[in-house]
Amino acid sequence: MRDGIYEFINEYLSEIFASVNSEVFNCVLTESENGIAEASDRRFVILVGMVGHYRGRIILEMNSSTSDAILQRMNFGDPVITFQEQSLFLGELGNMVGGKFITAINNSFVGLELRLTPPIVFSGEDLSVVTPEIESTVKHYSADCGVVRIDIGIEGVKACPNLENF
Amino acid sequence: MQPLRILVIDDSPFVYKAMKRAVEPHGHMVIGHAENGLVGLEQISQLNPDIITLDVTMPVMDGLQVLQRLEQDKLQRVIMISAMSDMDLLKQAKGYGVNFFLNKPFQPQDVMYAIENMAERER
Repeated sequence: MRDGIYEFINEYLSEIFASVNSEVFNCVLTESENGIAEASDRRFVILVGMVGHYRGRIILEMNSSTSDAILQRMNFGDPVITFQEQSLFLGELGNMVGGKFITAINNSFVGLELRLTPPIVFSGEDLSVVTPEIESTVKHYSADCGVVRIDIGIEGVKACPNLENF
Repeated sequence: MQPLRILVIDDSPFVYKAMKRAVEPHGHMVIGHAENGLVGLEQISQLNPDIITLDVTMPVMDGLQVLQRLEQDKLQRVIMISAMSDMDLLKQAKGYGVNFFLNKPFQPQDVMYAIENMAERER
């Protein structure tokens, strides 16, 4: 079952993320070979934990121009300016992506009973997030608003060998 | 349909805003926003809303804890809204008597569908 989880992630992550994109961002993000542009830009990282019979985390990462564009769409066209407001909206974005993701896992792997922890939002320049004890599956999605990096890792579960891992 | 008074219990300002955008063009009114279940329970007793939209995961008191404390007539006014919608959670909510469950992110027409069906049942 453990290996099956990562095969599931690989197969369904794009579909899950695409459904959130179309509903929240009002744009279509497609899976991309390109990472986030290395700019001297501030970055936002949203971390949502998964707890239950397995433990893990979902990390969303984007630079501030991408974040601004996504949040403006979430906020029905109005810019989200203060860091407090940005954090609330980004946290909700993490909840929505994480929620859809663990719903799909829970319904496909009965008994895992994964739940989300409250989201954490980090912001800064030269920001890198590493969780060395967990193998991760990483995918990038791009659209007109920029690139979003998604990194999913579940403790004790090996990632698929054909996916990008730490 | 009579204009309905709606209370939003959700820690997300996004959901509050989205709910207002969904219902107000149809003549309904969002009369309050509680950012956790405990504040939500206070506002339910103060405002006596026609419809309560209730998030599952919130700080201080979550949505399932709110359901445990609500009387039967109020439970029938609840629309659960959550980013998670696995079968276990749906069963728990259903067990409390909740008949409507919306997935985040929701579309305005999803909200109106739930509200109209709830109002129809009340008649």
